[in-house]
Amino acid sequence: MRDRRLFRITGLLLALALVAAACGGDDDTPAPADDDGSDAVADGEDIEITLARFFGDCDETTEGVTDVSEATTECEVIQILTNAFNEEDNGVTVERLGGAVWDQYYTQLSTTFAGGNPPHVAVMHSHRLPDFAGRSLLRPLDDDLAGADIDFADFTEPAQQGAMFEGDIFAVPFDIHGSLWHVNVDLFEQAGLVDDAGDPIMPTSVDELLEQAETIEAETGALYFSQDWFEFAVGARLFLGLVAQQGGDIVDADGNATVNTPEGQEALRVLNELATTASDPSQGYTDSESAFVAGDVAVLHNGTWVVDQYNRQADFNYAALQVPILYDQSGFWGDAHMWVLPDASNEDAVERDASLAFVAFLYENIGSWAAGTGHLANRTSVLTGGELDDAPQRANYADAADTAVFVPAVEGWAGAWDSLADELQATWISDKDPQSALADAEERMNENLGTVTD
Amino acid sequence: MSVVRDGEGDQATMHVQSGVAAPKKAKAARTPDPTRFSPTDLGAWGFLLPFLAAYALFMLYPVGQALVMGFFDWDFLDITRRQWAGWDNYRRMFWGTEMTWSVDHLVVLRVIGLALLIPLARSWRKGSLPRASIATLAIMLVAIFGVILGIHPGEGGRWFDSQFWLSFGNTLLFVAMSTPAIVGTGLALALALNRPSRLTGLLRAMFFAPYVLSVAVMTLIWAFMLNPSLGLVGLVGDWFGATPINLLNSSTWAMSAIVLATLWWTVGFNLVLFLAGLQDIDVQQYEAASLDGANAWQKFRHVTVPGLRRTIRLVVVLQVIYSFQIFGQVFIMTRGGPDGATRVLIQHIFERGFRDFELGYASAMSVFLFIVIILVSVVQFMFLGGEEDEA
Repeated sequence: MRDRRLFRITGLLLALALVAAACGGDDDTPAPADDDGSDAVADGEDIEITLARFFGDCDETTEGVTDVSEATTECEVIQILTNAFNEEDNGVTVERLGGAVWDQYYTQLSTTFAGGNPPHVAVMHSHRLPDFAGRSLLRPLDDDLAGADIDFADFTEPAQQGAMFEGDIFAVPFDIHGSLWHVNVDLFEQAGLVDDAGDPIMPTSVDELLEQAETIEAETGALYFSQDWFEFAVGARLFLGLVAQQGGDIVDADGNATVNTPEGQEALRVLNELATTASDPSQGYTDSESAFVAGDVAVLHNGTWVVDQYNRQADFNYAALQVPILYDQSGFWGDAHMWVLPDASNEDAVERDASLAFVAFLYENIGSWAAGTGHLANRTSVLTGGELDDAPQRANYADAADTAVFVPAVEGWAGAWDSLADELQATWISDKDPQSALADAEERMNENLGTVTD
Repeated sequence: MSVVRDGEGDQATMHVQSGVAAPKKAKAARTPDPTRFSPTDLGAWGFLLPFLAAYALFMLYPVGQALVMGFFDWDFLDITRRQWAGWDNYRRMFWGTEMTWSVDHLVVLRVIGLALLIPLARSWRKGSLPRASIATLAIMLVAIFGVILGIHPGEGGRWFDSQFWLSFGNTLLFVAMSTPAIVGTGLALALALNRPSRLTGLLRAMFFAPYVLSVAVMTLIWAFMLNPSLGLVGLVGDWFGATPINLLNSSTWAMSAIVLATLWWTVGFNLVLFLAGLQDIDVQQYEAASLDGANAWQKFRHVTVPGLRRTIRLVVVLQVIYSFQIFGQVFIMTRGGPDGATRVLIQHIFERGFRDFELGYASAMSVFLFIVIILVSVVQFMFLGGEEDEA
């Protein structure tokens, strides 16, 4: 009997607690935090703006640090720059939102847009811009840049292209990053593949590339070439570069994927030649890196973001070089990190000015970013100003800021790129016939790009 | 579950008490008026309401919304692009160009599927299961394996979304591989550890421990273990003189590696359920079986298995549901590769919804997965341990 009463009372209490919690929520809701901005101005306090970015978490090593020369990683550079901006007497405080891993960043960013509460400033890759700008989620900056002392004309041509969508400027570019040939010069020297100055000789044709591979293997026993063959889309990056070097493009003027072309077939042939004769296609991102740093690989195809890391880690004579030109013209995959202002959170003029002030600060520090990370500076004045002269390896690939090949500015590119990477990988992982891989890639990419008609 | 049991127990107590105190009322109590509200109901609802509220808000409402969104071209971020699409999303999933039907398409799978009609026919003859259930399942089998799976794009045609079929096929493969492995291992471990000693207590805790890890930690451990140059698997292979291969980079082995990692991660849960089930079996039954001269296998076959029937059904149904929902481990360990070998349906749904912003299409695929899981669960409930419940 007592049990029954206890059961009833507990049940009632539970229900009451639920009702109380539901009602309490309404009463206690404070004024929305977003409204604080204008009040804060009245009180003479800082305006708080929110920042969404990847590049990782490094609060522990950067707390209180405002001298960017102390930074050793991408994360530390951007965090120290943020600290430095917050330290300045500019009336603005930047608060970073959570989420730091680049490959899940866009899912998190999209949900903030869907929830109607995007950050004031967000980092964005150039290849993702069309998805957000095309949905009118970003603020066009054409009229804002002059007021913020940002000279758009100072950016290099690829950087400008990457920040624009359908004729409008939607972003302030921060860098250009792209493919590089990371070279173990000692192995090249051992194989006699250096010039009089002791610099490694770069191949100028596919035949020379494959000959070098044979020589390196015969003379040193090391693997000639490595890259991440299956985790990220690194193979697709080289594919894009090789197609561009032949004067081809992977998307036509109407936005249709065009990878099943003579240029595409040739590029895929070279990739498979490398995979089977000069590399180990079971290596992923980390394996290929460790093999290179351990001195077991002569050439590693990876990006600009690891230059300083390899420079520190390698026990051998290391060089970061541009992707060799194997055909008629220069060409290698490139992309850009850029700063965008989501429209919904920058309607208020005071907050918008605060956002622009922060972006202008980052624009002023593009040189520090390039010096601290290995990425290419994208401003002509910085590239020619001598600011990067002391940074290691930069002189070897500084021209790349003018010649990087960006992926096409079309909506749905993220999916199309994944499809391309999938199909290319199938040729060296599962021996899929290259011809049908390219045909399938084209079909899948067009489906991603929404250009398939029933 | 426990709330319902408590409620039943409570009512049973009430019957007995009423029976002693007032025989006339006993009759009324035995057939309670379901429309009449009693104070006991209040208590029961008090316990149920918080759960039901959360269930409705976080389960029923999203399911309803997915159903609706599946009929729209529903852009994740741009409200101006949302428009009625009718059955287009489903057509994109299930259809293609130059569609045709042929008898030999997926012939092995279809023959295996149709072969399931044989045990059904046997059950029909024996009358061991309700004939309506058998007939329903038989019609489903013929429809799916006899007819539907014979449809495919013909010469020069293609599926509108070939990745949907690839990822659904991989999901089915994962269910087929992981369910027997994880349920079987869970049962074997439970049988081995079902004895009171300090060591078995420790071992139970050890086997259960991985279950508390998050998917991110578990995948990190396994990515390391499976790494051919750094991990345990490569090392063991090395002892036997085998060239270490990267299992996660092999389209033949990647799915098995994922199943292995999942087994290690989740078998503890099944182990605990089976242990609880084993403890419910009366020891006297084993004693009686021993007196009758039964050996260990006979005791397992005729005492343990019947005693565990309900637990087995619960574990299998839950395991199948979990396996259909596989996503995290694949997404982190292989991203669906290599060559699409581990690409599963939830990953496809996730990418269409959150990478490509096609939430309407993603919803339609979710609805399809939801229906498949319900159908499979219903069939399992009908046929696993059905005889016991009828009795």
